[in-house]
Amino acid sequence: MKGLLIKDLINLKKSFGTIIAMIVLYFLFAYQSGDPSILVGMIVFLLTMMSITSMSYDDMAKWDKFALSMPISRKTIVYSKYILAVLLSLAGLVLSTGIGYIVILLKAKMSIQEYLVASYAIFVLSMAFICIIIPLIFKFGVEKSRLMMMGAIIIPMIIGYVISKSGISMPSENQLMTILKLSPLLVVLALYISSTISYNIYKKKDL
Amino acid sequence: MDILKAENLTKHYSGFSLNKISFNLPKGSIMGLIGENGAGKTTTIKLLLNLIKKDSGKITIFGLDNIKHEMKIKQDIGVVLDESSFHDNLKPKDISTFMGNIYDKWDNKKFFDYLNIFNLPQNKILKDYSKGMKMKLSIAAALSHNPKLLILDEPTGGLDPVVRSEILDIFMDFIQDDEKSILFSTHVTSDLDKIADYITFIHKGNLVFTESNDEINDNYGIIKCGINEFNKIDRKDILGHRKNKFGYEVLINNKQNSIYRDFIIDPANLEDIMLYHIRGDINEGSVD
Repeated sequence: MKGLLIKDLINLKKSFGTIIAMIVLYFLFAYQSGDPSILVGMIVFLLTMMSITSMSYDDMAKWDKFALSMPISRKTIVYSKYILAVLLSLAGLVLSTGIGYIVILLKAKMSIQEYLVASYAIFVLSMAFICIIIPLIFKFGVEKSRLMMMGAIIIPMIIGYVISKSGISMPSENQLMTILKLSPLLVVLALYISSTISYNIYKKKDL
Repeated sequence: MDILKAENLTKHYSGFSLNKISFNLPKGSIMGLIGENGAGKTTTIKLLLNLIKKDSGKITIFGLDNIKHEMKIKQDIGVVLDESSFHDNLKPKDISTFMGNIYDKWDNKKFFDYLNIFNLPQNKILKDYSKGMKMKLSIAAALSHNPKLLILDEPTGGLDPVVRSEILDIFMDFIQDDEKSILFSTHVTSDLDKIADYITFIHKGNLVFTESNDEINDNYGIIKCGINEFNKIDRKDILGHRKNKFGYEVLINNKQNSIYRDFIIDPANLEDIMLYHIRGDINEGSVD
């Protein structure tokens, strides 16, 4: 497991440079406007997406076949991708919180509490995204999953839009807070279900 | 003792089946797996490594079932696969970093020693490596956790004769202590004439034979003769024949038989055996 994670991080090393450049850019932008909320979305999401990038690198090198000929089980390969995604998202969360905190300290245009809630909500969304997309990649491969990935982003947006237009009242702040409090449990549950599905797909795959 | 034992390996695909392949690989020896493209060499290797599920059959490696004890067995196997390898943007140092976390017995010093022996540049990424360099790197990585068994799919394919002979030397070194073995597939049969102790020949998913190189040298031969002599050859000894304007060239697998005492028999190398066998298959029934 550790070996696989190290392999992924080394492979992603180059992309981290790009991410840091983007973070600096967004930081300047956020500082200028005094609103760090765009920043958090970008950082968390970019970092989470890198776990998908690592899967496409593996695909290109036909790595899985090689990895499975080593003392690495199919379970380990599947779980390592989830762990990588969670670690990267958490790193994004910590990073964006830190940077957002600085921006707010310098130019207090929103409360820190508000900002933390927004950061966390985006983390939860990115976890939801991972839970949908990783099983699809194990099933169809990275290339074929790209369109579905777009779907996984756009369809919920459309649904949200339709709901907001249809006049159904938005949940109250209290209801939202309840959902927020339950969310850690929901995230863990979703990760568990998704990784089990992925493993069952991958277990049967002939390589 | 056998390091590897395959019994009746069977795997069906639509359009291709591997049928009841059996062979044993003793300690301290090199076995070549030969056959035409698509014969089932890679499928056999994938079954040994449990990359694909077998339909039936049994595989024992180091005396253990290959699925029940998969992780334990794989700690002691070094693998080189034909079409998959390390990522293009890695450097050798990166590989040693994570391989050390995969194999319990990974030996960094050994890995870098091999890189030096093979003249592989350490500050280049793999994308800038040639095909031969990549293959040598894969072999270096496969050797650096002190495996007891090497399984290699086409390790010499597409390489020039100099690199190929270097790689064969490494293989010879590897089995010197009589404890370790190598199984490798190839269609460059001249490599095997040099170093293989055993040959397993697969054709269209079926086992043609699995024999020691000595048995092959003792029994197989090519008779060049005219029609009269050709008719004297026992039909069941004939594996294949070619007819040309000077007469017949016949591959037989029983040259010790006294009825061939007066024949001129040339030694048959593996390439002859493969060619005659596969062509004999095409000419089936035309021997008369």
